[in-house]
Amino acid sequence: MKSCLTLGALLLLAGCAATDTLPDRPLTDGQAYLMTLHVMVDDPLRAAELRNALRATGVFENVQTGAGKPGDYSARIQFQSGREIPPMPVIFLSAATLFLMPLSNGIDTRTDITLLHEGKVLKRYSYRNLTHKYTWLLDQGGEMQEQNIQRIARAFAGDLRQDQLLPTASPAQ
Amino acid sequence: MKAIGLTALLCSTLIIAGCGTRMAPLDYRSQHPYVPLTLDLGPVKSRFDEQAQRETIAALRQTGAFSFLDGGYSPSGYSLLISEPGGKSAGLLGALNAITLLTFPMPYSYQSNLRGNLLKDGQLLKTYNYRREGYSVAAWYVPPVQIESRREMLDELLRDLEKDRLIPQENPR
Repeated sequence: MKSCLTLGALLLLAGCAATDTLPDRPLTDGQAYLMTLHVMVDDPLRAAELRNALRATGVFENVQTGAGKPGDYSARIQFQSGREIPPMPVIFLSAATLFLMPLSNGIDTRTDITLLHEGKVLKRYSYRNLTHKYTWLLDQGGEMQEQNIQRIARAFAGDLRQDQLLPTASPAQ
Repeated sequence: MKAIGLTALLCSTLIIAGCGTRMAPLDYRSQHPYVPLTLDLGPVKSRFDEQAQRETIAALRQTGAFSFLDGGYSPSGYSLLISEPGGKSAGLLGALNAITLLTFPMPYSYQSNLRGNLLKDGQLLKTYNYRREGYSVAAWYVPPVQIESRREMLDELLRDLEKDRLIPQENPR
């Protein structure tokens, strides 16, 4: 009985982990940085978040805003993200239970990335990630958005490293 | 008894559907979009700010004047910084009107400002300032005048940007 209660309490406190349709890409440490990438995101409110996620991968020497100067490598990103929320009657039902009844929440993000150099398209990448989680009173799923973007950034960084389209940065003096 | 039922139905419909405070599309239309530029609408302090900024971005996109809207500050290329400095709204009078459940048409004077700073490679090219002021009433059945003021001023800003031709078009005429 005690173990059942402990298990129940642990589940309630920890909640269920968010799941993603895009698998997490392992990025090995100790490799040379790729050259500075100039990233343009067609979403003024989420652009900084996506650039930060790319910086956090640790793959690039630097990730900068704008198209850069001639000779620089740049990525143009079309970004579409939408929330999948349950129907209103279900939300009202959950509210009636003081949000003790879990609600199904999702973030669906489609990202189309065009890698450019000297105005020439080097390659196009496309990613879609659907992050899903059951949320309730004590776990509102605040980490979902961050996790959703991080997966996409890591997948793109991993593909770029694999394709070797971006030269490695010269080591710091 | 029927009248009470109808009133209750009307009130609940209004509460659920909201009172239509979304910004209407801008009147300005363009067939020749500008080159990609970064747009900064200032810090997001609350969900209301985020909602307002999303509406502004959607309205700007609908005009067809922007081919690509990035976010943040870019040291290279064109940047448009839009802010709403100062201004005056219902304030304390509006808060006091909560006693009447915002039903009494409380008169107040308002002032809305909009400033657009256009930058190229981090250097300020031109500043555009707009102001709207007048009287309105704060009540749940009167749409907030600030939203319409913002719409008019954004419209004016886009017309002035077209007139000044400081931003090159993607496919020149």
